[in-house]
Amino acid sequence: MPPDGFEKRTIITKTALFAVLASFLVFVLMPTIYIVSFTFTRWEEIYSEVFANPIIASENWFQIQRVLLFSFRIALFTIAFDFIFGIPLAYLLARKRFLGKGILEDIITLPLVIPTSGFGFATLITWTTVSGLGGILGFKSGLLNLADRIPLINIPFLIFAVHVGLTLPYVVLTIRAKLQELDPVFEVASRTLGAVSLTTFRRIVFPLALPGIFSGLVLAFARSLGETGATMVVAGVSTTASIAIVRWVFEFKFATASFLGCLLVVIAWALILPVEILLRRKRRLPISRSPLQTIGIEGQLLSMEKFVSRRLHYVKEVASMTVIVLAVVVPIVIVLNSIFPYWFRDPYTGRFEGGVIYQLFGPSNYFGALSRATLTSFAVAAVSTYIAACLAIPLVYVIERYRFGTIIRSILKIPLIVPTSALGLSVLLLWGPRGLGMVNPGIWLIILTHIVFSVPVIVEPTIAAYEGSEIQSYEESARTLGATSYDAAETISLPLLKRGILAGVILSFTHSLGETGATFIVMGSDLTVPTLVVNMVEALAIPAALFSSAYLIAISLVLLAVFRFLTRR
Amino acid sequence: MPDVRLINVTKTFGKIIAVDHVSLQVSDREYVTLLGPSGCGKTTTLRLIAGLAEPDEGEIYIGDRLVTGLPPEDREVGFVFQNYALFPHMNLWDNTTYGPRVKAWEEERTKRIANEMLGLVRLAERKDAFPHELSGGMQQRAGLARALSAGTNLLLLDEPLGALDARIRTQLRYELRRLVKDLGLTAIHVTHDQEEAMTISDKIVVMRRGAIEQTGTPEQLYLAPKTPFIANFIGESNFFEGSIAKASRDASIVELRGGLLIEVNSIEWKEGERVIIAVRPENIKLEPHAPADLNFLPGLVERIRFIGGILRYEIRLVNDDAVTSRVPIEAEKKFEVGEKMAVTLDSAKIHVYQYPREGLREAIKVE
Repeated sequence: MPPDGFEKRTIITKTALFAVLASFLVFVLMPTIYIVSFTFTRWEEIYSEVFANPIIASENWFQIQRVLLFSFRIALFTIAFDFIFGIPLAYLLARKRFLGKGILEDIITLPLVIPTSGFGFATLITWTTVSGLGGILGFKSGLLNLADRIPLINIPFLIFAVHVGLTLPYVVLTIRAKLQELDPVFEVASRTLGAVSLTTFRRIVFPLALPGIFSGLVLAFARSLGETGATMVVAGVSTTASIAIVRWVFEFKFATASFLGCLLVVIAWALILPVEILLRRKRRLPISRSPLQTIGIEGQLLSMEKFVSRRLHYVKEVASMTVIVLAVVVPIVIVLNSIFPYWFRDPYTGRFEGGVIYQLFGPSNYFGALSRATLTSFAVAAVSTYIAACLAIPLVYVIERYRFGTIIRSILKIPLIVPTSALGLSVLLLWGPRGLGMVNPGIWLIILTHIVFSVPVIVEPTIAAYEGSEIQSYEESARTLGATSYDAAETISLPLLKRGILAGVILSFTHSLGETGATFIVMGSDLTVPTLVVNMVEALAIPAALFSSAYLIAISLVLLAVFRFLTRR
Repeated sequence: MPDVRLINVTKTFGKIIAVDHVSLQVSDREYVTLLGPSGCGKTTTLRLIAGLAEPDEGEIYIGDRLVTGLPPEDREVGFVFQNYALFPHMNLWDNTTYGPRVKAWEEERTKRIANEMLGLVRLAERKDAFPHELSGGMQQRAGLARALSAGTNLLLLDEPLGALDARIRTQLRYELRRLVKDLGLTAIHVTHDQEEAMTISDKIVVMRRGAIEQTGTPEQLYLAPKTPFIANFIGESNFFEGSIAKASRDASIVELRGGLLIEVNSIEWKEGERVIIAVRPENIKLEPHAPADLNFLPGLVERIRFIGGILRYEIRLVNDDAVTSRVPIEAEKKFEVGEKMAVTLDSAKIHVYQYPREGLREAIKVE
């Protein structure tokens, strides 16, 4: 090779690397953490509004604490619930083979891609209206009221229901992955030594799967803290932290909103970094001193486990399935099914004004709004996915090729965990009128926001496809035959990765279609379908919301089916 | 009372019949080996006995109890795994006491039996070690101690020596048998290594393609193999194809390729019937060259291999058949490569089989 050519190539490679990293910085990293730096640079502003407000003293700070505490409580109970009901499901999926397993896996993945406001709406009508469970069970009204709280723990039921539905996949899928890594022979050995399945789980599986269980719960906790879209629809008068951000932005209390947002982003970072480090650890933590301390109760525990394992054999699996069905399947089925009775009129009062057609084409003319919103949603999804893909694919390459790639990969998890409203606010503050002033709220700002989380969404399946295949060896053989690394990537890896990339693209498109929280903050007057649904609910145009949610959910289901088809080998 | 009894047990996985109507008996305190090539069903059979799989047909008894349908934790069998399966997050002591603890035995009894078993496998000083700190041989002994501490009379071993180095394997083999005999246990040991099976078993059950080919002591299997497969799988055999030239009251004459004649003691044959005869290499004696005669086959030495105290002659007979002979190195007559000579066979040490329908190669194939 002539030395000139070699130098030229190195320069090109270095430039390309720089370009990729710079784009990553500008389009993904900065928007994610800008809200934190904003807090530092505008500290006086924030301090005076939040802590030393001339009118209300530190009332804003109290408000922040109040909503944070509320969100923490919700998150805590959510993950407790996820722990109890998610682990049997994870175990089932990891170890057993049965008819319909694929469907169960799909159902569990649904909440990850479903439009959150649509899901919130579906949960709303399932539990509080007569078209939902109330009517199915024969009552004349909904099963619950909007503001009903769960006794003892005092958390609004609806909020709890959507949080469980949306966080369960994180718990189940993370634990399942860890269990699949675990050699089943240990459980077999335990049983031959005389331990029933529950005892085997407690003494063998649980300790060995602990890192996975812990990470799953932490991810779920962070997801619950950050959940915005569905919560906006079902919260009523309650306010979680992420909803508070939206409300305060619209009340122009930017400083308070951004301080809260900053806190949430910092918490998300604080949660995810230890988890990432923990997940990377291969060495096991020895829990050597088996519960000798609990020898006192060990006897009773063992007999209880024997009883449950033998008599109540499938109870835990049935209970978990019931939870998943009630939290995820039933609302979706109900919302899709309810369009029909509501089409022309309200089926209960007979009034035309309560029918879908009237609401869409009548005086409110939601049809116009819906068409525009649809166009906006699809345009945003398409453009942001395209740009994100252009950034994600080289990023995957960088991640695999360079040692600092693992850091980038960990950073990429952050946009998925950070509360979406905080993310939206961060983008607004960075690019919007109060920051660089380059983009006004509207469709382009929405696109910039969506790029931030679309990049991680495309990167992960692509990496999974890359690492699960022999692409590296193919690349290496191509290079021994004389191809440059760029050529090898272009002619060998890219075609082989097609499937993974395509899957990531579809996932990103679907996710973008359904995104609510961040979009709400940056949309200005350009509504997307999910944000329109939120408005419809607030305006009590239920049939219109029903129609819009149903049709958005239907599109997501179709896209998810395509995604699963591509990833199932 | 036999300790383990399988009656007509069948197990299928989809279209594959892993265990095909197998019946077998293991007596109390017997050390039995299930021997066969991979895929023959031996491991599946073991797992059925342990309760790690349920048969589609048939019954399994352990002692007097019908155990079909019982989960493994209720069967009270000790299981030793090929890759040890020591719990990685527990040290040796906790691993060994796991069985007793999980059955809620009193602390005294637990300590006693764990110490006893760890002593028997010579790992008492490594009580606090974690599995990853031990060598392969130690881990296997630890697995043994753990299985034994659970207080069982029946020990099931699934290729327990498979993951070990050859040297350790031979050492541990004897320890295993000695331990089982000293403790008065019944053992069912699965392996594909026929040498292992021959050295440690009271009885060997040779399996192939889901069914039992032959059951017997190592001597019985070696000296009286019932099928060409056994003759080939256990030890080594030379095979010749031929047909019955003459059948009389006391003996038969088999005509091989090229007209060579062999007299055999086996008499249940009809004239003209196609047969296979098998002779072990140590029963092929070498003689100086002379014309062909009954049980006297001239040939040429093609190759000689030196294996410790034995010389292995590879000989090409005049009819083009190949023959291997094993001769002690101190034998008086020695031949060179390329030298013409002849082999003789003792008619009492020849096994005759009906020509297999699927052909000889298929019949002895190990797969």
